[in-house]
Amino acid sequence: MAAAEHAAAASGADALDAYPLMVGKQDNTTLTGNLLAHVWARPDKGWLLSFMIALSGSGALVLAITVTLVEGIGAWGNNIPVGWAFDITNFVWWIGIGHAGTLISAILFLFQQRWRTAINRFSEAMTIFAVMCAGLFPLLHTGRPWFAYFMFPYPSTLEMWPQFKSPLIWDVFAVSTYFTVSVLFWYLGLIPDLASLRDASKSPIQRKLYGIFALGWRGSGRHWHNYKVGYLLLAGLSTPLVVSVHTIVSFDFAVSLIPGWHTTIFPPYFVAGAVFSGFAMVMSWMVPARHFLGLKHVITMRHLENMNKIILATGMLVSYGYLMEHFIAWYSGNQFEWFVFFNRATGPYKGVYYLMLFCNVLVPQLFWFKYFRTSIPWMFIASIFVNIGMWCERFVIIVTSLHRDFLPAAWDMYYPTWVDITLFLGTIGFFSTCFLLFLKFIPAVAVSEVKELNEELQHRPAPVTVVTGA
Amino acid sequence: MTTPRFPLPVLGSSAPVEPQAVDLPDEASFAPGRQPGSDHGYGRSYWRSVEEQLHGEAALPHRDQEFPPGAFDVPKGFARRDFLQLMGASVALAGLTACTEKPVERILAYNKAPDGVVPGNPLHYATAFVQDGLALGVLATSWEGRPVKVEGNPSHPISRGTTGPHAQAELATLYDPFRARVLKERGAGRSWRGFRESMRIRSAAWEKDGGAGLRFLSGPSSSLLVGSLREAIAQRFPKARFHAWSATPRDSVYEGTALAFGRALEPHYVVEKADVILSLDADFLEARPDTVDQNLGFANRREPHHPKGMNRLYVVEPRFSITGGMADHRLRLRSADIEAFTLALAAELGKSVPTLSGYRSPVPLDGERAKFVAAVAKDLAGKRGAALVIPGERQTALTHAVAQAINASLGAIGATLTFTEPAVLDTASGRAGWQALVDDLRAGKVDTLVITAWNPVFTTPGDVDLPGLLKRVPNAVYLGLHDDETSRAVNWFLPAAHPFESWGDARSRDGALSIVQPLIQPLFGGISEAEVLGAFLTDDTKPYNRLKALHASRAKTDFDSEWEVWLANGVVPGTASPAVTPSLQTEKVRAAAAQARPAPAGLELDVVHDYKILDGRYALNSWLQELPDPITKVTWDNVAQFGPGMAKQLGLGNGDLVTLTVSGRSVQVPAWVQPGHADDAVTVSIGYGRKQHTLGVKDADEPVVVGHDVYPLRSAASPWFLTGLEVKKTGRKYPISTTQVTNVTEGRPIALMQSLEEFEKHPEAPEQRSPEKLPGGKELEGRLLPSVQPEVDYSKLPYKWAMAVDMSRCTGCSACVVACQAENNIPVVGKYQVGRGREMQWIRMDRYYSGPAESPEMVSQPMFCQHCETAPCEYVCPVNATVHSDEGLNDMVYNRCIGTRYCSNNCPYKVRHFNYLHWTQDKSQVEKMLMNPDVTVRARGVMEKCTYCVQRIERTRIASRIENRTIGDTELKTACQQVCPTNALTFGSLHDPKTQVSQRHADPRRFDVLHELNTRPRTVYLTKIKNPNPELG
Amino acid sequence: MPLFPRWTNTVSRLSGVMLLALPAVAIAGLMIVVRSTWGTKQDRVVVQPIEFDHRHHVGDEGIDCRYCHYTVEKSPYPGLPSTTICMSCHAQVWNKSPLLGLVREYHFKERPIPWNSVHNLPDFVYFNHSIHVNKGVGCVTCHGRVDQMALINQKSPLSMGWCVECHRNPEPHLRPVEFITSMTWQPDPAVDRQKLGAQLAQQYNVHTRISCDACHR
Repeated sequence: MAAAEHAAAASGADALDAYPLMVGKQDNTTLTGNLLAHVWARPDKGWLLSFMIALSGSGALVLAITVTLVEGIGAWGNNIPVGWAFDITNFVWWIGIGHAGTLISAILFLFQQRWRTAINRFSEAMTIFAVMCAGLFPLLHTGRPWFAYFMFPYPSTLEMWPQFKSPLIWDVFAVSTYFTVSVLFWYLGLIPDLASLRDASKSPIQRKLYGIFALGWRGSGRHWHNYKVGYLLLAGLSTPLVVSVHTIVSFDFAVSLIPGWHTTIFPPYFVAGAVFSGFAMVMSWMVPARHFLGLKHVITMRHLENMNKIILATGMLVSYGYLMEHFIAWYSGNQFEWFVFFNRATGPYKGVYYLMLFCNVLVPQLFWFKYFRTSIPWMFIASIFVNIGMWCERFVIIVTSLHRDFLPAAWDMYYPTWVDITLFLGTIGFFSTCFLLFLKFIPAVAVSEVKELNEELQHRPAPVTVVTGA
Repeated sequence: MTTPRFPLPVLGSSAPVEPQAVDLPDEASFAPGRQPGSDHGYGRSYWRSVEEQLHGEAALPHRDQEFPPGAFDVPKGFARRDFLQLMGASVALAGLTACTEKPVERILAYNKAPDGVVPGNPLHYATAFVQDGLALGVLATSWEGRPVKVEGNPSHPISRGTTGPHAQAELATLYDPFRARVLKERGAGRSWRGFRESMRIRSAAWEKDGGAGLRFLSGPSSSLLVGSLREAIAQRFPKARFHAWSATPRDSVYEGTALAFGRALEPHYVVEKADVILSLDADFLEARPDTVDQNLGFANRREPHHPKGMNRLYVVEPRFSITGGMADHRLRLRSADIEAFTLALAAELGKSVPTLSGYRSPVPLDGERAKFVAAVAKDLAGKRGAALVIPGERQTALTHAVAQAINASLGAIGATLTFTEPAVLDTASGRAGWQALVDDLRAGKVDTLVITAWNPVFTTPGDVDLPGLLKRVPNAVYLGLHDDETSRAVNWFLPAAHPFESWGDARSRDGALSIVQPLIQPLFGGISEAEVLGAFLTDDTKPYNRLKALHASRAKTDFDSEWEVWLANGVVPGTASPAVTPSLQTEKVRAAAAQARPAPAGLELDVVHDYKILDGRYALNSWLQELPDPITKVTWDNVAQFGPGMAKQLGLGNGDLVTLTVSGRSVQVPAWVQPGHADDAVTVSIGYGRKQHTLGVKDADEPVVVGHDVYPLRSAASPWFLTGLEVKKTGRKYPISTTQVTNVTEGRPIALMQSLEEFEKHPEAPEQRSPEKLPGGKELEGRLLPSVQPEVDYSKLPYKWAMAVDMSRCTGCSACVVACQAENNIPVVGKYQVGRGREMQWIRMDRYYSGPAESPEMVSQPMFCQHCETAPCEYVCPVNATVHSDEGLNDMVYNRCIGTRYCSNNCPYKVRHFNYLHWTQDKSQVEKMLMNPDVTVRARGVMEKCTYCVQRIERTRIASRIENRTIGDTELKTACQQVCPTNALTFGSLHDPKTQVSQRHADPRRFDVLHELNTRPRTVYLTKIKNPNPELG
Repeated sequence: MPLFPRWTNTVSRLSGVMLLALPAVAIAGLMIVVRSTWGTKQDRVVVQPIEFDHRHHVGDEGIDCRYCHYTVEKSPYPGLPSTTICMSCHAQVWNKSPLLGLVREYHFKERPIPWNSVHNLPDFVYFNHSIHVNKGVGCVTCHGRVDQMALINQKSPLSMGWCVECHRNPEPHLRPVEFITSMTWQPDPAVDRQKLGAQLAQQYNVHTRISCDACHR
């Protein structure tokens, strides 16, 4: 069946689709040449400048972390009732962004979406860096991070165990698993390319360096076979994670009884949101990257348009989530529940709320139109808006639900401090730093896979089908 | 009391430690470790480190901050950075905690163990808390000679085991590191002996002229010891004069009775017997030493099931007071109009009561007021013998006289009202008390003025220039706890010993005598008032011996043994003054009433004493400063309260800085819109705007001023209210830290209030259902909703702890908040942090208004951990730091907490408090002495909350288990329950149906806050019942 | 010529193994350390200002623990003897001994003797001696054979786990209160220890709790 379906996809899709998966007639030599070019090229001014900015961002992050550890959480704006604010908002936002990678590389792989090949490396890298940023906050937001190891189930002399009913414990496992698998998946995919880097490198040091990481890849038939099997297994392994991680993150809220948090719709709604923001982030980085790294011939409008379609789809899912939240709040007749949503729209934080609606509900609607789907500047701007919108969504969910919950006497306001803001911007800086380094030292596109795709586009049956079919 | 009470062993009487004649005394000589009274230390372990013991390191560094870090200023970046902590953190993160070697702890045993002291078990000493001369019997809990908690003395007639907030916070003043330590003459350190010497030299001259130039200015006192000393001085220097001054005088009470009955008398309102009560601006439910007993009496009659039925309270007042909050009907009226109101009432009553005929109001009352008067008059007249009119201290003598006339004519005297001779020696402590002195000062007749009153330079009205007058006095002496405004206007400053540091005696309102015994040796070598007065006599007997000599005659059999008993019980039996039945001088009062003139129209300035810092004497008491005002919920500030109408008219909002000008004197105060406040009056409270918080702090950035000083607005002639106030907006905002921003329940069934009528119709309003019950009170099997919590079977255990709050009784006086703070080592966070929503008090006194803003109804709801049986906080804590105990307590384990704050997020009552910063660090040694060693001092980054005073439960449990018995109902009390003047809080086990808490849980008025969440709280509330008059309804 | 020499294969394999083994070893090591006597500070030598020898006073002289630790039955704290108690005997016996010079000095200078504490519980643990002693937990059960210690040292781990285990099953550790301070008491081998414990628990109405608030407040 796989073969048949594939053939259809290969031939049919191409015929129908306006945009090819690959521009121009390529062969392995040219591909190796132009896809690895940006690794060998000396970093230009633009790269250096942006790297400097990103690096200073990371510096700010270090500063903010130091202040937090020395002063205590008091350095932030959090209080009672608003026990969580920027910290968990950032956590959820980054985790969400981390979703695009695995989705593209795993799920689209299993569905044999060929347009994934050019962009999966890219988005997987992003996943890893995003999860690194996210992982920072659960640790940092605790009042006594140096005791955070209490969260791990280990036989202690206290004969105490963690509270396994607590979603925070689930988080610990969900996030760490997700990170490990993502790293393995990414690295496995890298091996053949590292090998070709090794072979193409000029200086012996580079050669040795890439050599070490290439783990002695020789590209023999047996290598390829094991590689394919391993890749397939990891893909299968990480597919459920795409869904599970953000589901569990959403439990942090859904399991509680705070109005605006205690909602059964959260898991699907959070996952959709995650993919939404993830693709937006990929888009925001890919548009400049393909331009500056000269990847336009492999990352074509076909890719971009497909991603915009996904952004539109997930955006609609998110909008539906909002709709349902509000409807259920009204329909439940629960005055606390209803008040929260009323307060979001009319309360002191309504600005953030409307920004969220604009970015997450209105902006994606652009992509109904092919013009916007295929216009580089528009999709770039839109993706930025979506990123902002999704951050606002998390802020709205966390802060507006907490700051006015059950007993009016306990209500209060939350205002971020400079430490809060620096922490957030700092993580963006750190993310960018990692990403720029990645773009410098590692091929941004999975060269071997692209070559394979190239083969496939020329003569059938493609090796992929053989393996997957087997 | 489980532990036996002992009189304090008299080893080392309270003779002051003599400071050397140097600028700063040898600190070692103050080391508490040197003093038998205060032997042994502070904190959790009761041993003090040897370095301290040997080198007197405990001598209090004068650079200590009085207020915790960040109390006033924003935490400045790395102000409290502590890299060791950071290193420790990283090491711990590496899981290598075992590598950080802790220093060996020292154990210091007694050299000679004092008798009665069992290290590790506290003792309770009976003594008295004195405010403006009126005593309140208290018991001090003392750990190895270190008092850490004050509680009411059950055997004291006024206290009955309860106190108000001030008595609770008194210890924070005792251990105030800013208390003065050095005896100074013109700023230079001198010795106590040196002072006595110079007085002795001067006394030669006084003996010649009979002390014509010798004046004493003291606070109102009821101390027989002080009385006898005054007599002795008067005998030696016949021309010497004694004056009394208080910023909160009760003169009008005595002037009023003098006018009504021919001599000054002390009225005692037996509120419990009254069916109808009218308060004429009388805040008789504020829990102060003169009113604590009235709280319980009033509250008992707020129970709908009381055999004699509910009472009804009418309040007429300008501002919204605690009493006003409990009123069934409240009429807002300018203070100046209350006299007229009283006369109108008398006139109205006169129609039916002959003895009250012939009264008339100077001004006819308009519609609403007339209606109110008519209704009140009808109600009062209908309850002859059970009616009561209480005039307020702020009101005029005439108002008091007429009010007493009404009481007399309604047969109140002997029933709901008794009179005794005043217990205080100085019945004139206001203008009358010191006008003569001021005249003499102006005339320059005074050569020596001995001031023992609290800080008169600060508390004098704006139109008396006391500092200027003091300059003319060659030899002015001031005895004060702090180096304050007055100390800088005199040439001799004597550091005072705290009442808890010295021997003395005092009488309560009803005359009952209490011996004030020292709980600890003077921490800073202070001197007591008795010693100062003694310096003007030839014999320098120690106050302790004078005291014993003075009371020796009271003994029936053997003095020494009876003395011990008096000390142990805290009250000297048979000293309460006998009731007198005075005859009303009807004509005199009527004649005086005829002279009454209509009050001038215009905006009125109302000056009131502050609920927290009183007249400013507690301004340096951080517990009281941080206590939210019972009505406004403002902390660390005083505000100018405007009525909603006036605020709208002037376009004022909370925090708008306004300039108040009256008779040429003006001050700036932030405005506050107070529902229920009279529109033609503005209320400000005195005592704020002190500038000495940083006294002695050499490296202070800037002097810190808390609040705004409104004494300048006061006038000697009319200290309490003045018409002709002008208000000007400055256009500037002033930041105010409140603990409650939203004042209404948003229509949520949280704090339930019902009229007696409704209640009797259907006692169980639907929203009062507790989760276990269905409509009609039918028991429901299992739960309304499933819960992730395992069902615990409590039946196997001896106790099932629970609490119940009767909102009908609760006045919101907030004594419980301070009691809890004292018992549980709760830190003070300061104005800035309170403003950021980080206050730490475990009890949040929620206050809601309902009805129109002009005349709202108020309900106070103390909100603290509800110890839910299915607690939402428990299952979300990732590390099991908050779990359920086998007796239903919701335990909070600080040392397990990593501070995710998830529990607080998931707590629907938001009663958990998080240590956002390290509040407890940088504490001076003295402040540490205040810590309750039975309660962990929490570190930064951990969550905390009400524990039902688990330390008390465990102590009582262990004591009872050693004796193989179960804990009795009255044996175990939480700190808040113990202090509550209205017995609104009850705590106990639900297993025994006879316990008070079980009965309240079974009460039809019982409801569980947010029961729809199925949290099944162990703390339940009883609906507030109001008893409105249908005619006014 | 190959890029890497042969031996690097071994290296790469080894590093692969290490990658997995190292964390495992590290964690296991830490767990062992905190359970070791070094981790629990058992048998740690704490030098005291005065060479007080329990062997002599308890062992040879047979002085009851409660003679010096006089509040152990009524207070959370066992109570250290006030210097007066030392002098009550040593005013008569060994009153010239140089070993007791410091004691006399502290006594007459009215200074407390700065003993070094051996059994250090964290400040957030509220252990109560009186209830344990009254319910039949002997001194020796936790403190070991004090009568054989020249210098007192910690015999039990004093870890929370150790406390909890006894609180879960106190019976085997109970003894008749009349032997509470005895260092040598042994249950009659004829009777079953568990049964004896159960019977004592019954008699003294022993009711151990493992709720947190039993020790943490």
